[in-house]
Amino acid sequence: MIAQIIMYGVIIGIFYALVAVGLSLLFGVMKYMNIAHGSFVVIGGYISFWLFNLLGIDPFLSIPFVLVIMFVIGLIVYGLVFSPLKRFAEGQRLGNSMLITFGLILVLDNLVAFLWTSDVKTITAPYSGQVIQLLGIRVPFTSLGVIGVTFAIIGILHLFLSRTYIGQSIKATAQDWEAASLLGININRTYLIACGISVALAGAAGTAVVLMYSISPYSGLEWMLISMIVLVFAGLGKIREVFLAGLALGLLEQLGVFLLGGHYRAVVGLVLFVLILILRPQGLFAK
Amino acid sequence: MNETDKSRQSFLAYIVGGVVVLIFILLPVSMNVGRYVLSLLFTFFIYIVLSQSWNLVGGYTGQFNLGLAAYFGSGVLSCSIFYSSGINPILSLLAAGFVAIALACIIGLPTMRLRGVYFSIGTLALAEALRLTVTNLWPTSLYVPATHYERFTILTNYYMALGLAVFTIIVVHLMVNSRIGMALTAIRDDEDAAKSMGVSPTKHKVTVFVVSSFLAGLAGGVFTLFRGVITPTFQFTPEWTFGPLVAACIGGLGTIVGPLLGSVFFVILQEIFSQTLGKMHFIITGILFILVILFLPRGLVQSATTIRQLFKSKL
Amino acid sequence: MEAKVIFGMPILEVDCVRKSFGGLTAVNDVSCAVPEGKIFGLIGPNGSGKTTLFNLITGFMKPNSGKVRFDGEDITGVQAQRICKAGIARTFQLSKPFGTMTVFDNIVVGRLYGNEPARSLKRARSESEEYMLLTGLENKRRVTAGTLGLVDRRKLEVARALATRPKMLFLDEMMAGLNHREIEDAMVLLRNLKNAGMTMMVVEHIMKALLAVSDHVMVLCTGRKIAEGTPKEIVCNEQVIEAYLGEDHDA
Ligand SMILES: Nc1ncnc2c1ncn2[C@@H]1O[C@H](COP(=O)(O)OP(=O)(O)O)[C@@H](O)[C@H]1O
Ligand SMILES: [Mg+2]
Repeated sequence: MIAQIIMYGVIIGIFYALVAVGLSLLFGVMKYMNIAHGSFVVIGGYISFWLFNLLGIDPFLSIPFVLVIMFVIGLIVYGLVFSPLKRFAEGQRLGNSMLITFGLILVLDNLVAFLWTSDVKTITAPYSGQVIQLLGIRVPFTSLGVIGVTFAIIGILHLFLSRTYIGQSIKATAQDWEAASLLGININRTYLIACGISVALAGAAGTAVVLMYSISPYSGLEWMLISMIVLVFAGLGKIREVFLAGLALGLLEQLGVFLLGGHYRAVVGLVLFVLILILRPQGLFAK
Repeated sequence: MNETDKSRQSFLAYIVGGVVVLIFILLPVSMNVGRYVLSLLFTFFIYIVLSQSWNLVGGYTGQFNLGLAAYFGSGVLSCSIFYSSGINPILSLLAAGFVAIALACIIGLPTMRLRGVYFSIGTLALAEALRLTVTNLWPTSLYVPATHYERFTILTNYYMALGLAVFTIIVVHLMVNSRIGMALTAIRDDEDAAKSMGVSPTKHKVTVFVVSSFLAGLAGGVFTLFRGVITPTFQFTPEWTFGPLVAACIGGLGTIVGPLLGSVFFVILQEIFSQTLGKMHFIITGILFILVILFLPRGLVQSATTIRQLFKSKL
Repeated sequence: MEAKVIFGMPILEVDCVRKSFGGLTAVNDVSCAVPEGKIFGLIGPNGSGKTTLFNLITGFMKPNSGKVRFDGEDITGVQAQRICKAGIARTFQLSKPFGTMTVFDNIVVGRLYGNEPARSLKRARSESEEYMLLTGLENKRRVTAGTLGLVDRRKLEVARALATRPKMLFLDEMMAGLNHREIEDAMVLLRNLKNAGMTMMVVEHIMKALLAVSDHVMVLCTGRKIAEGTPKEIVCNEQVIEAYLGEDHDA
């Protein structure tokens, strides 16, 4: 029993890290709050869904396509939505980024509902439903696949941030954009690319969502809240801690499910979230 | 603008307001307006209450509450429970307001310690937690006693909603034009300066939050008496926050006219599109909302003032 | 360093207050006493902890250790709005007007919520007039405060603080950036306030002006008190000349 709680907690926790990592990157670099993050997750899910249904592309193999398409969407979103925020004084940008992305939720969610109806969609791949025995616990094959994908994506992101020039400039900008711009880094371009990557990561998470759960036009809010919880657990803008924070959330939720029943899974996370926001705003792992 | 100009202007506003209210009072008795128009106006009145309630916190203290639905929903739910247990409808309605206050004290006050976007996502998270809990506890629809439909015709509901809307506007008007209103503006403009002059930010924010929740709870109660049958899950959805928020922001934050304008706009748009395209009006509203935030931070009211001033200077 | 009681009963006593930000100690065990009705000048190079000391006394920061007593009561760590109601008013070095309100309404807030609040809005309005006149803002009454220029912002800071009817006034570099005439006006205002019995603690970078109006001066350097005395004693003090006067070019 305990083993099962832990196992599920770990699996879901790693998946949560994938859902949140894009949002964390965006906040860390730009100090903007994108509450439409969940809507991008949903859109990514739809892209995988259609690639699977129309062209028969396996959802795991569709991830590169999703990443590219969503990256381009991210660039457009930066140009249309985030870039105009520069007209505000620095102290007002965070609040206004929240409001504007709130408007973006209204647009995106309803656009999605318009394009693809409000039906709930999920992917049934040939291997859906298959389980693997792991330490005596039955684990769905898709979940293991998602964990593999998460490790791959976070690994590539890490390499990208630490080994490439653009990655380095993203990290430098995240630490201190003024110093970075003095070093000759083009802040606008860095923001643009970071936004593209953030939205692309949200899209990849969407593929995982449509495989493990299901998607519908208005479910973006749920994924946004999960990302937000992970973000606050990790400490705002801390990218490396997202992994641990996802695990913490996954395990705490499973504990809540065990104690209160499955209906209260999300409630546990949300209440913990507000408590941590009030009592430990620097995150769970800060010293 | 000098003092007499200003008082003349507010005198004019009272007259216009009075005439509009009178028209709404006389409308159903003098003309044969159908059920459709009355329920559309009912929705409009509820929107006025909710957007004024939201604006009281969002516009006057600058704290964007993304959990208004929790207070509206708790009003709906509690009114329905009290009413079906045989309590007088008016008492049930009042009780709905007080349940919302109680809720504001239990879950609202802790979030008062959060600032800016953290307040917003905190209120949203708690409202969602409450929605999920309510969905678990009351998964099905709740029915009011059968006698309800004899007692509450559409006309009674119409007048109740109108009454509540007028009450709300009066309460908000009195509040923002009192010393509390001065303190709220001061806190919103510069919290440190306000503190240095003896204004307690927490006390004022809490007061306003409680009043706002009370109004939202009452709106929930009136809504319940209108519907008869309610499904708790639906009245807790964030749509009940987002609509009033958008109406207040588009109309003009921190003004009384703003949410009124925004509500007219929102309800009409919603009505036009819901006939043909379902929730498509939200796409247009969303784009408009983004444009307003970026280019008209004080809403349509501001642009109206600007246009009028341009006009005056031309003359 | 022990607090020296110089003359008269102190209305404000600061006892060994300390404030650190991470590794930096911005105010390092500073003590002082301000007698009622006097002007207490505070000088020191940039970053020496003057504003931080103001923040500690007026409730905007809590000291790590030490005590502040005002008018016989311990006000250490009390919230800023309470301290205002106890009779302390302050201005901010970077002025903080209520930007969307008119100049007049900015002052009315002080009458409504300060130390001796007026009971009604109407009362508060009529009582606010005198502060408009006192600071020479009367022709700016309906101007939106956010659009004011530097000089009027400074005036508004003072008018607003006075409108709370304080027993003691803290002025943080209100003369910085003013021209000679405006500085003279400000000094006249300070003298008039003193004659009316107001106790003041004044931070000023402009040495000449500060020494001219102060009864007593304290010098801070990197968070420590390095000298204290009458203006005459201060200008002769070796340590002060070395730490401050020698390298100071703003004056
Ligand atoms: N809120 C704060 N956080 C960190 N350091 C601060 C803060 N406020 C002031 N300091 C530091 O404390 C020192 C004293 O600052 P301040 O009191 O403003 O000096 P002054 O007013 O004498 O110019 C400076 O080194 C400043 O950087
Ligand atoms: Mg200073």
